[in-house]
Amino acid sequence: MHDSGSPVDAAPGVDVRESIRGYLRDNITVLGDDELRDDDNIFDKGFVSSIFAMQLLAHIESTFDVEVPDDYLSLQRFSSVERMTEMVEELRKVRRG
Amino acid sequence: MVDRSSDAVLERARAFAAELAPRAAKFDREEHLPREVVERMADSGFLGATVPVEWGGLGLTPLEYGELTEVIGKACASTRALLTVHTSLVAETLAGRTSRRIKEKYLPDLASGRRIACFALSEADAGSDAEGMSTRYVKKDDVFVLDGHKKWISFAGIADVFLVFATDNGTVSAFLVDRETPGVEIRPMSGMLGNRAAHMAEVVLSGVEVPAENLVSGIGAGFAFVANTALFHGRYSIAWAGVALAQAALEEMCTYAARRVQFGSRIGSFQLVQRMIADAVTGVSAARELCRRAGRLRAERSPEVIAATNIAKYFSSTVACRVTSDAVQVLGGNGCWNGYPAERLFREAKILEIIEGTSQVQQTLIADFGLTTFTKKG
Repeated sequence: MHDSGSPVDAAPGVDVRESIRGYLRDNITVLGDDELRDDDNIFDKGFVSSIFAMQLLAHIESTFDVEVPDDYLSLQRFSSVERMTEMVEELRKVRRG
Repeated sequence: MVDRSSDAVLERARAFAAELAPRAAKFDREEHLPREVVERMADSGFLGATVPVEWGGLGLTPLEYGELTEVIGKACASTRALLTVHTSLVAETLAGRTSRRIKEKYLPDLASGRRIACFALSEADAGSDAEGMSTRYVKKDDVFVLDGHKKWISFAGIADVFLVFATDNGTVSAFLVDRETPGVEIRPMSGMLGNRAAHMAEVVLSGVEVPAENLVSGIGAGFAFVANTALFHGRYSIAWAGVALAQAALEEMCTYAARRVQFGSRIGSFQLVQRMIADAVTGVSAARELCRRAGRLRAERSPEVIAATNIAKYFSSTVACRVTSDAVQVLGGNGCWNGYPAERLFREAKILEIIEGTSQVQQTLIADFGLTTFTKKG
């Protein structure tokens, strides 16, 4: 349960994928031999429980300065580094209009 | 118009609690919380305690709400349960990440207590395990059709609105269902261990058509976002409920020990009784401080608040169980008799180790937090 990120992360040039990967690595419990891959379903693989989705949402909104709309609030969109990166890029595009 | 200042709210709560406490045993015995008590909670503004002022609530801070919960919970657990269910689980959740349309449609009535809400997640075969949920929904034109059977739903017996969770092949979504909707059937439940006056019921949904606008957040947001948010609020409430019961039991224990004479001495002078009192004082103090810490972190919207709330809920409910059990022990035969409050407090405390995520669920979450936070890197 680490900090949600510094304002500098919100800079457009920040590597979204790397930032999300880093946040997950800091917050998951790896007791097996599995290393986190970008396409791993973090819920199915047991890296985190569904309650962690709330933290991911807060982290993504504060770090990347985006607002995740209601119809994006499904576990699927938060299920992997890849899916979250896609979502953030999509929302940033919407914000830029 | 009620005075919304926190001092006035808490003063009202203390005055109300003083009237409520002597009636709690009767509510428990009759398994019924009178309508007039619910209305008093509403008229005092308590049912909208955590709802922002702009939506008609009191807008209390988490610490103020915690104190309110303790005051009411110490007087009557079933009345406090109304705060947990209506205010924390439903109103506070809807006041968060829901559409403006839902807020406009429901929040002012929930904040004022004109309508009562309940939280319909549990089923006979599914509690914290969303995958075990059998209540189904299907989208049909501009409505969702719900079929299923919810169980152990506090205040379903009197609620006007139900926050219902249902699944569509594993995709869990949340819906607001009005009591009067055709196909909604309420079956009151009786014989509970505690929270006996909380109008617990089963909710049977048969082809219930819910307008699409009553979907809370998006499709698939039901468990991960809506239920977890609601349970996060509920756990904070339950943590304070534990402090309330433990404090009530501590007072019963001390009062009795200071008066009861055995072997020519007050039993409070016996060291083995003193040990129970010392452990109770220490446990209550520690539980209250953990709740206050969770409250401060809630106010700061700290990322640490989820773990802090789980810790507070787990510890506080455990302390409540131990202290109420020791209160029964100190009161002896009188502790086992409903002429004294100890046995009721003991029954009520056990409920807290089960609802809003069992102690075992909390332990798992806290252990995950521990392994993540305290494992040395490298």
